[in-house]
Amino acid sequence: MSLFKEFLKGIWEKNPVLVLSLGLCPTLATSGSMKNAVGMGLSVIAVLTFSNIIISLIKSFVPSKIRIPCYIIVIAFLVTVVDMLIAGFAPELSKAIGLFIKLIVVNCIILGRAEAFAAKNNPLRAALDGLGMGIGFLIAISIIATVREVLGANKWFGLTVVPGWDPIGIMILPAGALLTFGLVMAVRNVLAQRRAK
Amino acid sequence: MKTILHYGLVLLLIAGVAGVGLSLVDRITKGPISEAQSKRLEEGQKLAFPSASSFGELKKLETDGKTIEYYEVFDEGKNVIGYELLYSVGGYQSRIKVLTGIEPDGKVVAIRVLEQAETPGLGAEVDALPSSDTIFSAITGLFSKKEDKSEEVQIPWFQAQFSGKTPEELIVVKTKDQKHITALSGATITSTAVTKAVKEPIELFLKAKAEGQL
Repeated sequence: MSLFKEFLKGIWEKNPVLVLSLGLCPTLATSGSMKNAVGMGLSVIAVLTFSNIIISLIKSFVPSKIRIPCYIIVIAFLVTVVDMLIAGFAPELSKAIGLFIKLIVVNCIILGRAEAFAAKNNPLRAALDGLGMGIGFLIAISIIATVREVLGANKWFGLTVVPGWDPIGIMILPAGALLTFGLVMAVRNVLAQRRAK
Repeated sequence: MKTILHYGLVLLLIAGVAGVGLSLVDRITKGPISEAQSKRLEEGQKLAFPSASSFGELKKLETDGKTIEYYEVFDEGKNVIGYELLYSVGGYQSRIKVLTGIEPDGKVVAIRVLEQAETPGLGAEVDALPSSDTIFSAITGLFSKKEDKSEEVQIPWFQAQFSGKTPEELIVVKTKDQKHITALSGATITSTAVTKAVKEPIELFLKAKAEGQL
C-alpha cells in the first residue's frame, strides 16, 4: 500500500469511529460541544501518532507475551505528558476536558492501532497510520459534536446559531449522542455504498 | 526462570524510561500548572469580593461534622470586612466547588463557581456568560476588525443572581423572580446544588461564629 493511502485510510475507508467502531466512549462523552470535541480530537492525534511511532520502534525487543503491558505503559506515559502539558499551558482547555484526557489511556483506537498496525510495520508507516486515524477520529467527533451542539444547545463553538430558537435539550444528553452517532454512521454507509456502485 | 527475568527486565526498562521522561516533563510543567491554579483562585477571590484589598491565609473550620475552608477578607487598613467560604457539594454528575464572599452578617457579596463538570448545555451553563454573540456577529466581527472588547471579566448570569442575597433568600425557584435564585432551565439539580454550596457554609459559618468557634 502506498504511503499516502496508509495515511488516507483512517479518514474514510477505515475511519476508527464510523467504520471500526473504536473509541466510542470518548466520542460519546466529549461530543456535547465543539470545544471539547476538538480538544479531545487533537489530543488523540498527538497521543496516537507518537504511541504508534514508539511502539513500532520497540516492537523488535518486546516479547509478544508481555506486549500488552508494554504498550499500556507507553500509552499511559504519553497521555500523562499530554495531560500535564495542557494543564500547564492551556489551563482553560484543561478545565473543560481535563477529565477526559485521562480517558485516552483506555481509548481502544490507540491500543487497537498499536496491536493491529504499529507492532507489524515500520515507524514511518506507523506514524502515517496514527496521524490518519487521529484525523479520522477528529473529523468524526466534530461532525457528531456539530449536530449535537447546534440542535441541543443552539450553539457552535459556544456561539449562538439562531437567536431566539429554543434548542432540543435531549441532543446534549447521552441519548442524543447515541442517536446522532447512529445516524452519522448510517449516512457514511449510504455514501460508501453509492460510491461502490 | 530465564524468560521471567527477561520479561521483567524489558518491562523494567520501559517503565524506567517512561518514569524518567515523566519526571522531565513534570519539571517543565510544574511551574505553569501551579501558576495557573493559583491564578484561577486569585481571580476567583477578587470576583467573590471585589472591594477587598487583601486576603488572609486559608483557614479550616470544623463544625457539625463538616469542614468549611475560608479566607478572611481585609480592607486597606487590614480590618476584617468579610469572609470567603470555600465549599463543595455533589452536583448532577460532578463535584461543584464554590467560593462565596460574604459580609460579616452573612449577606452574599458575590459567588464564583471554581470547579464543575456538569452536563454541557444544561448544568454547565452555570458558567454561561450573558453573551449576545452569535455566529453571524462573530463572522461579521472578523471582517470589521473591531478593537478588542474591554478586558473586564464578565460574571455568568446564574452566579450574578446570588449577589446581595441574605441566606434566607437563597431558595431555588423555576420562574423568574428577583428575590430568589432562578434555576437554569433543564438543570434544577445543578442549580439546587450550587445554591446549597452557597447557603450551607454560610449557615454553618454564622452558627460557629455566634458560638465563638472562630
